[in-house]
Amino acid sequence: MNQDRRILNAILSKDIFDYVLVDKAFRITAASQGVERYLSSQPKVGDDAFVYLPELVGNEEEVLQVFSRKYSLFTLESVEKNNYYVNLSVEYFDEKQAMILFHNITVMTLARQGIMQKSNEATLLHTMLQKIIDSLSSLLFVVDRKGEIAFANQRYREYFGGDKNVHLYRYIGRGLDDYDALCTYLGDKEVPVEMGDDTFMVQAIQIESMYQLFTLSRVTTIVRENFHLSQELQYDSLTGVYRKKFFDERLEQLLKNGEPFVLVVVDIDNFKSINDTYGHTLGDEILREFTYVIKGCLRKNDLIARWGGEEFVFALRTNEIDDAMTRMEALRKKIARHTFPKVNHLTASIGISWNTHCPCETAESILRRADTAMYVAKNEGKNRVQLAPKETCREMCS
Amino acid sequence: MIRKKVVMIGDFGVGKTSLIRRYVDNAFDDSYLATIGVKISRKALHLEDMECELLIWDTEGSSPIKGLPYSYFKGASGAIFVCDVTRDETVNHLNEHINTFLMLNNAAKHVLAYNKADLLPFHQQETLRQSLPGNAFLTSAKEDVDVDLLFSILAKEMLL
Repeated sequence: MNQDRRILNAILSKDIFDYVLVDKAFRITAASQGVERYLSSQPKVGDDAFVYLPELVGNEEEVLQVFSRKYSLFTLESVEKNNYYVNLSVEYFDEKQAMILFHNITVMTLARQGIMQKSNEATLLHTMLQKIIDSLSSLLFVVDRKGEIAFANQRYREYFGGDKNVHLYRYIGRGLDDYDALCTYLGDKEVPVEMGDDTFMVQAIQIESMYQLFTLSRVTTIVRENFHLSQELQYDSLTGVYRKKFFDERLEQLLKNGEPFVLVVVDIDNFKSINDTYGHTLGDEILREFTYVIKGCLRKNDLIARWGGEEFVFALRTNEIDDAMTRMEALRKKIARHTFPKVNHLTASIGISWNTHCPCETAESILRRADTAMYVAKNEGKNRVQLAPKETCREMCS
Repeated sequence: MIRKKVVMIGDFGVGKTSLIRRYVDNAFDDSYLATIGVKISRKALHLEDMECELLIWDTEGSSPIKGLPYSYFKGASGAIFVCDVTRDETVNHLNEHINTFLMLNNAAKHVLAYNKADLLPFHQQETLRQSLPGNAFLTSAKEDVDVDLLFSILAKEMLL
């Protein structure tokens, strides 16, 4: 036994290495005893090497080079064979044989597999979470301790492009100068912020002590829809003045705050005959024109609403009854002088009342007195301005 | 006996091992076990009176931290590129994998497996199937959809 063979046997005895010798025709010429565990059965001399070592198929040329070049080597790493992992290396043995060495790396490879398994699972989870975060309709970004954006989701990137220096805190308008200040200001509240044409609700969450998560939920559409809805709820679609319900709320507020006002009810005389004669389309046109005329006689802070039909109600922001009377008389004349389409001239009857400051006074009672005064004006010949009769508090409260 | 080396290539977790298990053993296991290194499975075939054996190399998938295992590609007569239809990034990586493989084996044949079709609603399966190129198959190792077809088409390409 030569020196090389002694060294080889010493290595093989450690149960880490096994071998198969093959000739140039890929026939097995020898094999170590331990090789059986990798190959399922012990190969015999003369067996086809490809049957036991399909790894050689397709690599025949590389293997044959080993026979002619003493220092050439063909290797395959981490090959699973019969539930073992081996590194295969084909080395020069002599001029007629190549040695296929099996290096058992099972223990090390299984440990590597465990790590790879965890790594792959973590990558899958990370990818899935990334997709979930990117699919959120909110803009989301994370700021680190240095105040720099450490992460931003796809919606954020799409909205702000590549700009990482958006400085959201500047849009809040409270003199905030960094994300710490913004986080403190927001607390656990959602705060609206306008950026360009959009409105967002901003929320902050402190993630441990390292990161701050900010979410911006775009509410532009909701804000616009709310605006349109409140417009529809507040304003009469035909004339553009307040609806009576909204006027009542404002009137209650004036009363509650003790703000002065004089209440006026105006009704167009003989309007039913206009509708009956000319139809509702012209009736609507006249109502719009009538509104235009009366708005011209009101001041900026006066309130006006359409009570219904051809009846309007104002709250003149004054506590001077004489002043109110003068202005309403001027309005009456202006209406009478104005030329309306088709009907030419119209008149209106006007009733006026005021807050008596009696404890039982309500917006409804003031309105009722103005309405009664307006009917008195009608009954006394129309085209008149009528003050509500003075009542004592006792009379009113009884 | 003609023996042909076929390599399974794709990102990790796309179902390369499952396709082989379905094709060779007609079995399926839902649990995921990462392949490390390479494992060779054999499948005997009769093609027009020809006895042949496919030696199917199940290689570990590429991941963001580990690229393709090029050392296993050499000498392959064919390749099956696998992606997961529910993970866009695995589909997007196909071209890169194909180019890498063909640089090493320019005469090799290849087919594509758009795997895990069972996870898509039926109408999406149909839409996707119609949009696939001729050498691509919508497969499901779980439901055994077009797995035999995938391998047999490649075998014919390599042998006939």
